Amino acid sequence: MMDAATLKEKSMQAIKSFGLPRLIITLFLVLLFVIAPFANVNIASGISDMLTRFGMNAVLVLAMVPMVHSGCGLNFGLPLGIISGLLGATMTIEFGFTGFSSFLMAIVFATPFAIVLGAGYGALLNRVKGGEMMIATYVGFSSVAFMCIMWLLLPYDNPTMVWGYAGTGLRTTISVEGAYLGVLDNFLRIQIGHLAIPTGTILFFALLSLLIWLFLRTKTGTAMTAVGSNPIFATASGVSVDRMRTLSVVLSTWLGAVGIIVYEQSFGFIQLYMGPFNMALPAVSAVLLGGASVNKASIANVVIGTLLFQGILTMTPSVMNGLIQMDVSEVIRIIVSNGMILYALTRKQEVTR
Amino acid sequence: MSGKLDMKNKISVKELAISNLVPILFICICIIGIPLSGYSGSYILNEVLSRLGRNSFLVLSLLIPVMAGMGLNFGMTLGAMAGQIGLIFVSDWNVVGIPAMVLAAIISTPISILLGWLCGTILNNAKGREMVTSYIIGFFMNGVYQLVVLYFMGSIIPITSSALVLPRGYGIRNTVNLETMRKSLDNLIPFNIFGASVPVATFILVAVFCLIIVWFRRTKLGQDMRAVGQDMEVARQAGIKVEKTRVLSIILSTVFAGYGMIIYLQNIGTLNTYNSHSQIGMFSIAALLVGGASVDKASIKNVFIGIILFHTMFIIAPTVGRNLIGEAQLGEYFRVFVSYGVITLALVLYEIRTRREARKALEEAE
Amino acid sequence: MKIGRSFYIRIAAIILVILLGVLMFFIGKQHTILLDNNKVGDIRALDEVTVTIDGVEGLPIYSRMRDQAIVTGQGHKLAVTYVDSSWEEHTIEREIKIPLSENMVILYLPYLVENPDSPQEEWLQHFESQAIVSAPADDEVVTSDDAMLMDF
Repeated sequence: MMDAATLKEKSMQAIKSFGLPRLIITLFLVLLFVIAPFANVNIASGISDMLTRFGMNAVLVLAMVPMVHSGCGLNFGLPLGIISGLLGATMTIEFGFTGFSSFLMAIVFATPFAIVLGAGYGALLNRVKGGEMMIATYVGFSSVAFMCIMWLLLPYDNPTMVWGYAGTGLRTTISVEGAYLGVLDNFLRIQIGHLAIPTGTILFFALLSLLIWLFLRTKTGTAMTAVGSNPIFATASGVSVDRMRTLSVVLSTWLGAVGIIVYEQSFGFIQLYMGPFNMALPAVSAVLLGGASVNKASIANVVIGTLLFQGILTMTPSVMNGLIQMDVSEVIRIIVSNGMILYALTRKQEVTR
Repeated sequence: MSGKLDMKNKISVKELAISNLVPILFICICIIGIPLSGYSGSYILNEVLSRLGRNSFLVLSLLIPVMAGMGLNFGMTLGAMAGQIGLIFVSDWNVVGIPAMVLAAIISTPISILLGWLCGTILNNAKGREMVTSYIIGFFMNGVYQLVVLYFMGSIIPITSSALVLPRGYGIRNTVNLETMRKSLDNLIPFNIFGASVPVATFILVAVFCLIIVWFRRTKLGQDMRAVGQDMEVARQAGIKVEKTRVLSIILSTVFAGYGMIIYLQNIGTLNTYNSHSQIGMFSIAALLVGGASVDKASIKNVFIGIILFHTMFIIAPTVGRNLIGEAQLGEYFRVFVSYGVITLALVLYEIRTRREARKALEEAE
Repeated sequence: MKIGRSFYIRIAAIILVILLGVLMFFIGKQHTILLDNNKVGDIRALDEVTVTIDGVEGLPIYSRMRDQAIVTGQGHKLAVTYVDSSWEEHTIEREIKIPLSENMVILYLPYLVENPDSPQEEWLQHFESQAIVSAPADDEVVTSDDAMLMDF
């Protein structure tokens, strides 16, 4: 009798620490894989899709980590980083780079933009401590809208990118074929029947993760974490809070820039104008799904979260379509991703940050 | 002594300019933009009057949560959804004109109350970050709204009109034609001035709503809300049920936003089932901020100044873009940029001011 | 839970609002009346007939033609003016009451003219519209994010 009670309590504790929403979503994903064969969905190709999309999005999700570490909250301003990446991507095509060098050059071109924009964004966030998330959201939106104007006006003239009839103004979508399409995806690609693994992309993400992981263990990295977890203590031990925060924002912005370039090499297209507009929320909810919170995020959270999130995204439409001929995946995506963010924002223990 | 006084005066002028930065910026944009657009005065007047009529109610619905210290209620989209659901039902039932608007409002009310209660309860668990949370609630509920409208209506919820339901048998079409109630309120009392038609009846409704807000501020509940908005702990010690008051403020805002949406759509004449509500919160908040409101202070005056300035910019931006650069698209992007930029600027100014005041209070305490 | 005076007031207010809603449904419900001037059974179509509903005169309807009138609410004044074989003008005035649930009814004018005193059900009947209202063919539902470019 007593044992049953403690067992129940213990399991409740376990569920609590794992997070009920995450549990539900994990079970949902498992369920999807279990019923997939009955809906005539090939599990191997399902896993391949999931891995491909994992590779596409993981770096964007990784861009959440530095800012959360330094206490800047969830990076709703991800579009700013994406814009840096888009500038790099369009420049590498404008200058006619091809193959792997074009991918590398895109990152090289994007870096100065990411540093400058990130530094400005960081400085702004330092002046609005406590209200970062809302302002980050609107900084992201404003910058997307501003760049909409710039994409029309900037003096690009590569015929593959500009509108044919006018000769100026970038197109809404630009193919990266002939530039860096699939340079990572096809590197050491593993193909067994229906199962395809984009090894290169996953390796690239692993490399970046390792670098971030190592960075967080350097002196600067630990100082950054200290700023996030206890700013008063950090100040007392001689760490400049504002500098650490700015550094983390620059890092997040740069990861956002690299993230979108990795995304494009797999997706095949550069999406300008409104493209980056709604890219922050999926990345935010993915890292939360992985077990991160408003002030705690690890690489493991990124990996688990992206796998779960992209798994749901790839499996739901095919399984649902196979079973009930009704595609509710879009609705499920909206409810799951925003529900996850709401859950994180309303957890009691984090209110007293 | 006098020098010191002068200094103080100078600072206050500077501060006045900073605290009204957004409206001043907008007045400048409008002054420069109007001649460049080449529009006639009566055209702009006509447009502004019509937009003032259709948007005032929506923007006014934002005032109550600001009073309760809950910031700008991005969750007003929930009310907009409720209003749209009401409109879908009345179009299905073939009810037209003013009765249709009243009926839609009646249907929207319980939905708004439910959604507002939900939103308020969630926000009580996210004190200190109400805005970002209400913003996400808007997105979240948009998913639920899509589930209901796109999958349940016509299958579980009886909607029969073939003009509304998608050919597949369930789900509402992209656009719902509201031609039968178009401008039925605006043109109820016809009146023209300088060649511009004035939506008199709509203005009367708006005026009534303003009076309600003024009256509401003086009621017990209104006083409680202001107390909660000033300091939750002090209010709690004074015996005010803080949580309940906050939820009530959101419920009221949501209900009025629903009515506002119905008024807005009767002017437009078509309902974009899946898009009409999505940006309403953003634009309404931008308009309010343009009028000089901030996260913790917003008055009826701000609403009207804001709508007039914001919409003048909105009307002229595409033509100014075309006349200046030869690209109307540019003007459209510009006005989107300005809308978002204004919100960003206002939020930043507010945060900076709060931090400075907090620091000052701390210094004074020491 | 104590049930006080305010509870009853609230219930009454809710009932009142619901009643208002029902009233709005009654007075705002739109009906389409098809005015049909085709032969009904053995009764020949009229050469020319003008229908006035609630004082609004319609265009003349010639034989084998059909017009429509859109009305809101249920009770209406109907006046049918026609010219008989001896070139004399006649007007039949009737009150009609359209059933609430009907979106579309058909009014057989020749039958009404032939039997001016017959009950309403004989010449005003339910009509099932076969032709779908020309709704736009938007099968694909757009829930796009470009909504931010919309007007406000």
